[in-house]
Amino acid sequence: MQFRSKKKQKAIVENISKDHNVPLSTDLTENSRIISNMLGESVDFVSRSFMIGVQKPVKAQLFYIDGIVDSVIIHHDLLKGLMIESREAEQSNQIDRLELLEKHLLAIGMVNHVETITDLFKHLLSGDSILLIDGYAKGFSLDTRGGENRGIASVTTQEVVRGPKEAFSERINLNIALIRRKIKDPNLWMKNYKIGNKTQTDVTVAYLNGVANDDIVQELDKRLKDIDIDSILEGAYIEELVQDGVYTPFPTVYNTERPDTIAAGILEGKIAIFVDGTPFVLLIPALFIDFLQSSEDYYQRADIATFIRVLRTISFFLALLTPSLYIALTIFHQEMVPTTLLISLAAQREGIPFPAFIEAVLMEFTFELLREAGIRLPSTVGSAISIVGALVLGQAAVDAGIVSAMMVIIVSFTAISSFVFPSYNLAITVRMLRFGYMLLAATLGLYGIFTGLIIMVLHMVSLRSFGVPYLTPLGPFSLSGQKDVFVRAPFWLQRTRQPLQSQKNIVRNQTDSPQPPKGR
Amino acid sequence: MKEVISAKQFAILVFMNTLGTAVVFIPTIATRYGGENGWVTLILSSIAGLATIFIYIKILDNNNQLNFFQIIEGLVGQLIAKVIFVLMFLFTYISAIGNVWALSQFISLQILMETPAEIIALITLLSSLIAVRYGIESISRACEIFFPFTIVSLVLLTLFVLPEARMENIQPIMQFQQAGTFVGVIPVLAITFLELFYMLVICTSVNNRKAAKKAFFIGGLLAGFSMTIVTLACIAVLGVGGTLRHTYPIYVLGQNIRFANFFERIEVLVAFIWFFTIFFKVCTSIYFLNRTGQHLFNFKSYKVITIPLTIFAFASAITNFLSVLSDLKLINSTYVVFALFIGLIIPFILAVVRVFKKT
Repeated sequence: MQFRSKKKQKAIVENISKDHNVPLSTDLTENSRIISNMLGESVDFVSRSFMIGVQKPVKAQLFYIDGIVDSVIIHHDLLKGLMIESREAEQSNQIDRLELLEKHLLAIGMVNHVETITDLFKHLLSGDSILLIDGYAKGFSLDTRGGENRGIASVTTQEVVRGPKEAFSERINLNIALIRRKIKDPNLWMKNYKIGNKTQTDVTVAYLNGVANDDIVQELDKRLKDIDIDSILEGAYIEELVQDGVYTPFPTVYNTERPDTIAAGILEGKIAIFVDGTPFVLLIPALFIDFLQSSEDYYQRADIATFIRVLRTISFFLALLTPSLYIALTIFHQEMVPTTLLISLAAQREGIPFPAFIEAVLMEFTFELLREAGIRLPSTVGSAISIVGALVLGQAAVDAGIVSAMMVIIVSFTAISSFVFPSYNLAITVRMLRFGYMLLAATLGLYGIFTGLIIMVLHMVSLRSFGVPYLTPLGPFSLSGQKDVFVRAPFWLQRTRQPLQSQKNIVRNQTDSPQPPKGR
Repeated sequence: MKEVISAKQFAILVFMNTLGTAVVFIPTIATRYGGENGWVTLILSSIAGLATIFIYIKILDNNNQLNFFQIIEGLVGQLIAKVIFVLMFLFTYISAIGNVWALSQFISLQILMETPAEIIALITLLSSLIAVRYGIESISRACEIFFPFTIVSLVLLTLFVLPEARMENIQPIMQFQQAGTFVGVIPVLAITFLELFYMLVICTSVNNRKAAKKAFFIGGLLAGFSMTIVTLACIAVLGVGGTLRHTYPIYVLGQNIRFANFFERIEVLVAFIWFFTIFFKVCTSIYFLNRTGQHLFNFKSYKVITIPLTIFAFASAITNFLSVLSDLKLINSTYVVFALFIGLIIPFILAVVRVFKKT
């Protein structure tokens, strides 16, 4: 018996999943059986049958998935209305029962009609409740989405000293609301997609109509619709499936958990992609300089922000090149090192068994291990790693004569420089490329480093993020774009949006520069 | 997809291509002919060079539709045009492999003493292969990014050696070797402006033809000015004897930099800034070779011949030149005739044909 029902159940499921538009039956028990079978009689599936009305009672059944619905709404607004208040509504002379229900009894904001099984499941599994009435081949999906969520947390990955501290959370509607609260403009348009054949993840594209480049909006729409994958669990899935360049170490899609950064991006004419289930929201088109900028640059005074940006740009090159420059100078170009420093370097390296390149690779590798371990470790034992790192691998390694003290300084300096980036994914890129440059420096000295730099720049200028050249506004150079690259000009000077990202409606500010009051 | 660059990028490409290898050799050549008036030779060469550029841009029309090859074919017919393309191809090929080899020898003699020049040539050509495969758009954008570094290093170089300059080195002005000062223009022109003929191909990729023509002048003017300054600095700091004696006077000039008693012997950095200019010159000329090959054999894309051409260029570069001294001899004799014929006489005829066709 058990065996037979399983087989039958499987047959029904296969039958339905083959044909996507199986209409609902008029028989309530039949519908109920199909739904319950298709869900494999899962424990979180709740079905509640009851009667509507007293004089002419009709069988009805409510289905929902426990945990992803707001049970308060179901108990207080839905069931109470349907089971108790329906008696009064019966007095009116409505002929169609469904119309009566929709117009008078369902005290829910969003009500949709469902007519097919697939339609029904799409709503049911998103947290809607489904109401089916006996004798009708259609039912209602009622917006009861809810359940537990983390709420608005504070920023953990992109800290600022001054600026908002709120961060996105895992719930897409909360995230969108955070942006809506910042940009109160009817031109903030949003478009929803359901991507992932199994996960049916909500993906929302938000942009400022009239400012964002229409071609990019259409291109993104096309690329999102082309996605055919069974699961989207994080924004990175979308990022990898819509980006322009496939083989590149450089990120061409920006991501952040800061609502102010996303709002600023949208106001500049960029397009935000919200993905349900992750606090990281994507921003396209992303240019190289975006990864070197922080939202705090706009909250500090212009001169301070400029200083910090220059610092960050220098730190990019330091993080990339410090170990390789050290290798090149000590192996190939000793004449460039001042004599006194050279003598002290030679003295330090006297007892070291490894050549400079091996030493550098060893230390860099150790540091990468430490950093990776520090991320994965539970926070309770996290302090242990810093002791191991600082004492054992730093001081003790030098005392034991495995590495030179200079090498420890070089590696620490590189590490500090790479922590300056506001964006984690560019930091990873730099960490990867650093090893390549060390190899080039060990084989061809400064010539190798310069060749590597030329090839890197050639690669970067060939990249595009949704059609916008990656190194805009440096190459192709644009003078008006320079106001917000290394220099953060005061707001009264930044009258237009960045070129190439938005070609129309580019004026964003018409405030004149502040003047002291007249007559003094 | 048609590649489009801006006039600004084109001006920078012209600057890099004129400076190219030339800036390493020119002080010696100019000084050999003009003595302490070598820098006057450079001023005269720049004027002559701008006149050459004027001839070059006369060949092009103001119509943005046709590329360089189609324009020439329209002027003189398919057959003669093909002969001209083959000649240009050969000339640019020799210039390109000469540049690669000059760069490789320079680096292996001065900077990486134990690395064979062949390896440097291979690495340079492989990087230029990557660049050419990325296309002229990427080359010109990368050029744009390295341009500020080139200019800054040039300014720093001249500023830092300024304290060591002695005016008596360039005196008396125009008293001796007056004829030599004028004769020197020809070899100087041959390795700088006359090689720019191939830039016309890239000129037709610029989105605005009129602006491109102007950019050609601006790039040439800036390059001529820079070379004059460098030659003047060489003669003023090293003297006529010193400039003649050294194979790479600009490198010796860099060795004279002393700053705050700490930064000494940073001439390697100066050298690598020149490496950028030479690299972009090699890239541009190899791009031209590929485009010409594509046109001659009617390929759909020039990318099919990039790899074989690079291998050929590598083989020729490491076998065709004996030594730096023979390079200098070549630059002063055979190459001059070749350059004058292809870089001046042919363009002049083409320009005349263009003027007659118009009327």
